[in-house]
Amino acid sequence: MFRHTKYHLRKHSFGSRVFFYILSFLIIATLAIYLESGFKTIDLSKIFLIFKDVSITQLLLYSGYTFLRLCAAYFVSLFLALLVVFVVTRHKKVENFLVPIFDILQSVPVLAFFPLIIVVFAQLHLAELAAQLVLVIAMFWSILFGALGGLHLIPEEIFDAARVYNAKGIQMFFKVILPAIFPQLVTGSILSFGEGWNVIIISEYINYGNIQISLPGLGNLLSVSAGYNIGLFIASLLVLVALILIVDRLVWHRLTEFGERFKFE
Amino acid sequence: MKIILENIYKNYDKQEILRDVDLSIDSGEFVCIVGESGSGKTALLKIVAGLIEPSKGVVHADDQSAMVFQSSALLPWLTVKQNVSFPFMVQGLDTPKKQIEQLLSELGIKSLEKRYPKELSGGQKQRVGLARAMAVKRKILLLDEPFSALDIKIAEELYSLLLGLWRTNKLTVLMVSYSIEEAVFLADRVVIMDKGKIRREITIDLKRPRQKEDPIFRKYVEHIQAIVDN
Repeated sequence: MFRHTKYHLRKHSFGSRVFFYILSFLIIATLAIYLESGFKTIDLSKIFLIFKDVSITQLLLYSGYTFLRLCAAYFVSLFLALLVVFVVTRHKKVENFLVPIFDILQSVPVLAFFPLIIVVFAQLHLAELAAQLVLVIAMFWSILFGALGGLHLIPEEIFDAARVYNAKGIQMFFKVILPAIFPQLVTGSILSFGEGWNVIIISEYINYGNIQISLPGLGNLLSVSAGYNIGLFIASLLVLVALILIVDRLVWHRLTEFGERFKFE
Repeated sequence: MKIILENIYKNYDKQEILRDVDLSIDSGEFVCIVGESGSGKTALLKIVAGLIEPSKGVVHADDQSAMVFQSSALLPWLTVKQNVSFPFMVQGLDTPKKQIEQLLSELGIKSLEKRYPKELSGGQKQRVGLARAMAVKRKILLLDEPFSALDIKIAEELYSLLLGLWRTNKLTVLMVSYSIEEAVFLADRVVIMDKGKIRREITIDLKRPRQKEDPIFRKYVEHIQAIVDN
């Protein structure tokens, strides 16, 4: 029978986490050397040499671009999702009409919109807007369905209590509905950001027929370095993973904990 | 503050929940509605509160009503004090801080003002629900089975509190109760509902404070129980 020991129940200390990160890095770097040698040798003395062409400034700058791009797309998606929720709360029939349409649309892969987006935006030389659109299409649904799901979890008596005291429109939305769906918004946002990380590579480096759209960012670095510059590829990948972990610990983890207060019993 | 219900009908999903309900409640009167579940008690209360529209009929009420809910309906992200201030907050009005402080003391929840609903017992939550209802100073108080989830000792403490508030604030009270004993203990008049209609109205001619062991009290309970059962 499995028994929890102190070791199992202990949270990993900061030191042990750093150790695991360094170990992961060394394993990835070793594999990269092995890959670069054409699966022949592993020369550990080359472990840092593969990063000789990597510019830390460029990596940090491109991480910033990627993160800002994702944040911009996230806030646009959040705004649009909340707008839909606001309309749905005002007109119940709209939900019955819109949700089946959204259900179909969200199952269409983001790549299906690619030809249209590329043709339109490449012609107009609006690469950043094309990337934003790709990201928003990918990120919007998780927030929207999270919020709509949260709306159905609000007990009817809460709405009644608010209505008895004349809550209407904007006040009802901001003082009752928005806080009430906060935990589901956080969950939806985590999934949405996950989708964002997934499509960041294709949104920053679009190569379609004769059209090429290239934007500064980690996704771009990963795309252009793959198969050509193994050091840059690994460094970009590691920075991307680090960025995801940092955002998770500093933002989502804290918001999830904070959201517990908003849950109904 | 009188409440008059005239010829009220309510249909929902082709089902008749209320039919031909006429009820008049005098200013300062305490009326309790009892009946089996599905008899239309809560629907009637919600119609008086303005939460649902009757399919037919008219409601006359001299004032807007305040309401206490079965689940207390407190907002989990607000503290006790913020929940009591909620009626002002949700209308974008300034909170009368002194009045709220006084109300918290009156209802014995001043020491809990910074706590969140999750940190409160069932009885404490209902005290907060009552304080929230009293904060708006409306003269009509509606209660939807507020004590049904509480044990009898806590419920009895809240009966005294409610009767005190009713008397000092000269409220008109309409309460839905699952318990006939509770209704006889509290009300001036008990309205018995069955299948969406008012079946009987019984005036409780007993002085307060009422004793549950009093033979006349028991007779009222048995009489109303017999009407509900038949």
